[in-house]
Amino acid sequence: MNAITNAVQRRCGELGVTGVFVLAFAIVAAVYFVSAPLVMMLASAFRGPDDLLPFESGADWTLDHFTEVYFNPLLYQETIPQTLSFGIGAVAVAFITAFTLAWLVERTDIPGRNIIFTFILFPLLIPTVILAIAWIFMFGPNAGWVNVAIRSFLNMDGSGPINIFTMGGLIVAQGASLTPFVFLLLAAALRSMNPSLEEASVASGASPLETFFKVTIPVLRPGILAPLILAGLIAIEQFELPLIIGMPARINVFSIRIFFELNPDDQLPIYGRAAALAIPFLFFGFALLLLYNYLVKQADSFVTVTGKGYRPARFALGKWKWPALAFATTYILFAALLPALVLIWISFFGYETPTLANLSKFSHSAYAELFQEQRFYSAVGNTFLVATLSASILVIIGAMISWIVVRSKMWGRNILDFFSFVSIGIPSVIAGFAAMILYLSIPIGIYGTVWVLVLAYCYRLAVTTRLSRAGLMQLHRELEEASYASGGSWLTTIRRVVLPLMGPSLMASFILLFIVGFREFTVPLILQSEENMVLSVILWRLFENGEAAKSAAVATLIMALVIPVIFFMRKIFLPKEDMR
Amino acid sequence: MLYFRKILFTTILFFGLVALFFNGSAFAGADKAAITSLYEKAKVEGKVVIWGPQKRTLDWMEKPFETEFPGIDLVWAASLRSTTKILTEAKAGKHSLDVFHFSLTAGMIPLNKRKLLVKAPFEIFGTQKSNIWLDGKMGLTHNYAYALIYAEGKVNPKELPNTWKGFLDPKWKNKLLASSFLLPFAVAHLAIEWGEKDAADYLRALLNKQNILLTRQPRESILKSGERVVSLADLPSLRTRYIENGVPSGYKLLDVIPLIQFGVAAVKNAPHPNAAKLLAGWMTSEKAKRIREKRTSVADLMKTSSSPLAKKIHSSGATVITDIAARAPMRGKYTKVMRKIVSGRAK
Repeated sequence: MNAITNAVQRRCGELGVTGVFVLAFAIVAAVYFVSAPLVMMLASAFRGPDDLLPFESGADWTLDHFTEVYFNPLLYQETIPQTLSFGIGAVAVAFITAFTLAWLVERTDIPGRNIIFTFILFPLLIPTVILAIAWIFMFGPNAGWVNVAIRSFLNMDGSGPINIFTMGGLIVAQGASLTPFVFLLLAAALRSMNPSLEEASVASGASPLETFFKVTIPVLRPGILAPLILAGLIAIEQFELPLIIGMPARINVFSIRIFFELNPDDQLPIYGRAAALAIPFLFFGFALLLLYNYLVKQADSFVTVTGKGYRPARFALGKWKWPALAFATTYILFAALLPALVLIWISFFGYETPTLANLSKFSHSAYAELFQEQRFYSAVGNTFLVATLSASILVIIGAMISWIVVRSKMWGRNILDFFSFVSIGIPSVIAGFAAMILYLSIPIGIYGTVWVLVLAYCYRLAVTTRLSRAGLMQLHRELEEASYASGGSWLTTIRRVVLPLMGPSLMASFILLFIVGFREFTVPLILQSEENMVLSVILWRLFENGEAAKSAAVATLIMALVIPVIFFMRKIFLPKEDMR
Repeated sequence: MLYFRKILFTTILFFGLVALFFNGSAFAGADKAAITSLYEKAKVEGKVVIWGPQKRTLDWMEKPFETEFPGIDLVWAASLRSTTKILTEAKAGKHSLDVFHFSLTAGMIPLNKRKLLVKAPFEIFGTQKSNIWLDGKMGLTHNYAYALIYAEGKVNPKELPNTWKGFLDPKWKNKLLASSFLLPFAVAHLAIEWGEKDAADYLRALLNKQNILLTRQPRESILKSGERVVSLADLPSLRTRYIENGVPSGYKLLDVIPLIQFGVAAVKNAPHPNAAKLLAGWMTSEKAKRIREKRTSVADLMKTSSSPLAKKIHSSGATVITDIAARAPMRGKYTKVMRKIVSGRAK
């Protein structure tokens, strides 16, 4: 027996038997979660005709969807150019805003950092439809509040001057809504950065701007590229803002095309054509991943956390404190606070214009009716369970996959990396459809329960693997080697050294996935039953029903439930900072 | 004295007959014994699960149904893609829905084609034969009429054109909005009357010359803000909802009135088959239709209906285009064309 154990341990090397099992489990889980939606998407793209579901008898293999989509000249004249303009523009707006905000919050002494951090994340909590309504209320060319104020001030007639229903308007709106996501990812990278490299640069006579471009940006490359890539793919995959703000401007991007195929309203969804439209996302994602891998090839160059301790330094803003606060406040006001106030107002006043005279129409009946429904309370419990569990599972699996990709020499680790990344290109309706077929077919009895939601949500590996990978690349191997040399097993090293040091990345992943889990409505709607009702389904029901106040009340309660989680997670799980 | 007794007797007789007429007509033709027998079987099942496109299409019926048939819980399934769900579950041998409530062309025809609907005893609830379609499987419940809704106080109703094409007048540029979901359907119906080319040109003019604002967000929020003042191809029955949401609004019928037909059917292999037939049948009864109209402003708008809006539609002199199974292929073809224009897949 000892001989067998020794042989196994020799084969497992430094990982140990437990380590091998843990990593094997992570690989199997990752492949399992992503396979079903990915296979569904790829297979559907080649199954037709339109009026049959991909698995129905009578459906056959066909290239019709591809010819219908890719032989349409409008795709090349309008859809692709508009998608590129929109994607690049939105990512640029998001990145510049998010980087500035992340820098201010994580690397300077700007006051109220935790509050600013929490408020910046607001747009993630507000349903995109409400964000769009708020933007239109503010910047609609005819009656937008800002336009009315400007016209009144400048004594102008007609409409405008600002028109939200333009490509520029859409880019700003999408960029603003993408900012919290990019901010969260960049903040994690900036937090982990050892300032000694910058200090050495300044001490050698470089100006702050030179240090920024020649030291900070290159060192942060993995931490910057990961959010850029993810933001780019998410920007072109999102359909809500392009549908509500872009469509009136006749902007026709890929995501709107996919939306119309999946929501034909007068026939079955055309999964095949939607899949054919979504497949370029996979290739685009693959190309971006190759570029990312090339740019971060010299992994050791990006290490900022070593065995030497360091104190996170914060730059003193001095006289720049007020402009910095003004910048943060402006973003928070337009992108976060105003939409949140619109939401809260609608929950108490419906669509009444916010004037003093209308204050008398205040009503809390929306909340009162909600609190009287038993279904509401079970939905709160289900939502917390599903969001927390799915985020936790994904964070752990993402961390393990990242370790395999960055630290191991396992054959096929790049394939695994790509596999986990492609999940971002899969429309959530297809993921939900795939989960429905899978769990109806597997006789494990979870279809219609809350557990099917937990598993169905777990296909979003891309975010957590990107973040974890970027976070792991900042850690020097010597830290793990020191643990092995001291007698620590692989599992002990991961548990007590690596994961704690990856804290900021893991926390960012968790918060993002937790929020996504709270907001997600497509997958739970498809898999919905009386047992697994979640808040987003209740919100959707009320919104589709035209019950504006009640749906806004649910959205407000979602914000109220998630904000403390974010605030306290940051307080509890991040180390206290020292101020210089 | 005798004279007054005669007057009294005649008056009582008159009102008694009126009451009998109205009450009686609610169950005119209804087979109460058959309903009771079906109810007894359904009560054992204890529950019925219905899918409808929105909660408001079903909210109104929970209390009246459960009052009339105590012991049967009415549950709404909120699935996004219900037709897909029914087909996928059927393939796996699982069934969670009892009753399907949707429009003729968007849901009933695809499910019927796959033999996933069953006959229900609509006639025992007094439903007329003309209101039972698809070989006894679909009972008609209500219609939506396409017209327009305008923001009161922001537009003079007297200035509103009487025709669809009247909105191509330059003075309506930048003043119109429409649902990107409803507009293609409405224009597809107009194509039945005008021809495909004329309707497609009309749609392009609305989009490109009149700059109609296409939206998927609540239209009342845009009317309220004043960003646009007329919602074209909207549904008069939604006006009540707009007003409830703080948006005073009126509606106007135009020269062509498309009517969309909605119905109800019991699903094959329903987990609660008797409750399914009971609910489906009840929904087509005159009594249920009256309750629906009173609570939701949504009504049966066919010629035979007693609804005030139905009477207004059929006496307006407008061309009324009804949704019938025979027209479904043509309307489907036109809808595809119009949706391509609206979604930018075609110019």
